[in-house]
Amino acid sequence: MKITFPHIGDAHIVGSLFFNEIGIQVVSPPLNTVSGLEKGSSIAPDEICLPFKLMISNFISAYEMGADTAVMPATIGPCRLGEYGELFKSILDKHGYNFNWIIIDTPTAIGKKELLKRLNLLISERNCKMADVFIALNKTYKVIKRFESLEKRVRILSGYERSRGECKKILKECRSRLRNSKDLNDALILIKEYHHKLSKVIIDKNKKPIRILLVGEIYSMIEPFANHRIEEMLMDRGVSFEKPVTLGWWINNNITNPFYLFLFARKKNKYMPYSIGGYAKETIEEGMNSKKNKFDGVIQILPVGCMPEIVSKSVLNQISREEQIKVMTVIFDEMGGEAGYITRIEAFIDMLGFAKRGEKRGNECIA
Amino acid sequence: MRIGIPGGLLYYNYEPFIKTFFDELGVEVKYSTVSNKDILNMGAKNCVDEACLPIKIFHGHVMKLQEDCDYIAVPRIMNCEFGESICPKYEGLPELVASGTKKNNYIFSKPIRMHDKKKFLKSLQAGAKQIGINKKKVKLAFERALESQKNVNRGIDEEEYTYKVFLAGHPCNIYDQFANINLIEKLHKLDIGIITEECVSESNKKEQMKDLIKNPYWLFFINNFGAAKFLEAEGKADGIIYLSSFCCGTDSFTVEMIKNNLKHLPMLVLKLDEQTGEAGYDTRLEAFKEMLEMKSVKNSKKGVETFENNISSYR
Repeated sequence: MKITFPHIGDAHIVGSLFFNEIGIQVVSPPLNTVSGLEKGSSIAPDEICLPFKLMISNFISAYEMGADTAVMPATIGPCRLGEYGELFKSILDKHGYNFNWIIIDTPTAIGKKELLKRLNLLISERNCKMADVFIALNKTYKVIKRFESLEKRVRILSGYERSRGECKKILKECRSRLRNSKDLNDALILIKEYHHKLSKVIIDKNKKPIRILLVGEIYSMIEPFANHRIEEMLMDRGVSFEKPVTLGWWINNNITNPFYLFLFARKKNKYMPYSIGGYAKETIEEGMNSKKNKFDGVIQILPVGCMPEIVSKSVLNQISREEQIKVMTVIFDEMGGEAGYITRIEAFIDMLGFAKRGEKRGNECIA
Repeated sequence: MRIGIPGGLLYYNYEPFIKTFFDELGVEVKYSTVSNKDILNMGAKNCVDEACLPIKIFHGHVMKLQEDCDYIAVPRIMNCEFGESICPKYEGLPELVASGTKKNNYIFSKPIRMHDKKKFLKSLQAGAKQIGINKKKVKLAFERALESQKNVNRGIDEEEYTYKVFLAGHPCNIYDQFANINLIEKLHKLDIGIITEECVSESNKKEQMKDLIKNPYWLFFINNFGAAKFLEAEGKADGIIYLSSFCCGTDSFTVEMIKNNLKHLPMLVLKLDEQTGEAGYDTRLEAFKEMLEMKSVKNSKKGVETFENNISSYR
């Protein structure tokens, strides 16, 4: 059994480390590219969201590389992600890519027993004891958490570094070495080393960089190809920014902390009192708090046609109007041209800069 | 005090319920159910650009009712009768409308879960409290309304035409003559009758879901996919016309699944948007009719013939 799973950010690095640790073969498809996306869109429906087109191209490449079992997480609606697995199977079978499907669904949809059965199937060919699987899981979670804390530090520090680009370089180097690391222990040591390296970067504490909050749809936030590497772009321009939605955040909220979803559903929110699927409520929540947390502006990222984020875009416009929060929505589709995005984001950064220095140019809100 | 009821989205499904409910409450009600060019323009102007046509028309109805109503009923439907969800836009409808129209006089916007009668009633009672109607009255009206919804047979099933197609899609597109520019009338002129998904019973639809790896959760997916497969198996329809709106999230999924699971029925996908040209639309319908004719002459039922494209229908 050779398993594969679609790309989302750095999941393929930690995922393959974990499965190698317990002795299961993993096929990691090549990173997302424009030609891969073209291949994906040629067999995907026209109006489906961008993540679907990228993921289907990952599955095709993995199949060509010899994978035979596909793993796909799913949720219970009304967002389209919950039905992805169904449509993947239907389309890929039609085109002759016959995978065995293991769909990791929420217990509310299929029951706890079925979920455990599927998880057991996933690790059925392991060459170690069950206890070792849990140890490996724990280590994987540690790797994710520590690497994300490194990323978080880089995002914030990139506005304060004395010579621009140093933090970004450290992060890039760490990621590429992580890809070649032998096992999970090795990875943990490596990340520690880079945490140490980052502490030695010369920081100018008197700088007052622009602080931006990135919010939006989870896949486009985590997968750099889906957002045209917006993070690197912001780092290059000396912006200090934060991104609350990450892989570790998701794992924490959905798996390790069983109360999060329950508590979050009951959290009061003036602009969006009820959760409407996807991460719309989270987006609104973060956008609302951005002023309190001293962010200068908010950039909302969504793939074209994302249903929950369309609602949150509309509500963010309202928040922007009523609370004078500066929000820009960037909608990504499969077009490869980056110049338009860069210009818009640069203009937004400039506008925030003017506002920060007290020069009033134009109206407060850009929607 | 006057309450406005915008007639869009699921209004066509639950018309008997809504009418009886408000009649029994005894409040002054104004309906806006027939859409036109002005309503669409008003809606498109005030709605977020990325939303689909039915949402924009709904915005238009709300804007029109705002002129002379004190409150507007904008329901937040989370689940339908059998626990199906619809689409995030329905669940966030009050927020979407409030931010689009910049007003906040919307009632009945507590979550409605129709599969749980107690919660359903509670949410209606909470809504009625805002306009000063007591719980007892709401309960009585609610029961009468449920009864009337049960007693009405919805759906169209026409026998008097040579061909019969399954008209799939959302009720807000099928029954809104303005949105689909008289599609049903146009089909009648081409000697095509229609059958809609309401004519297929719930259990028959559910039966068609057996082959899927996951129990689907969207109302419109279950209705259209189940009915399409059932009608094909029973041989009750000569073809399928799927009436979808541009950028519809669930339809992008449903259409592909129907296409992949049909054995021999031809299928035409029409996409509606704000454009109003009719010529392209008519040509495609005529072509579909000719194809049906050719098919009946040959009487062959081999291979899937699917007429789908991504060109806007220039509505």
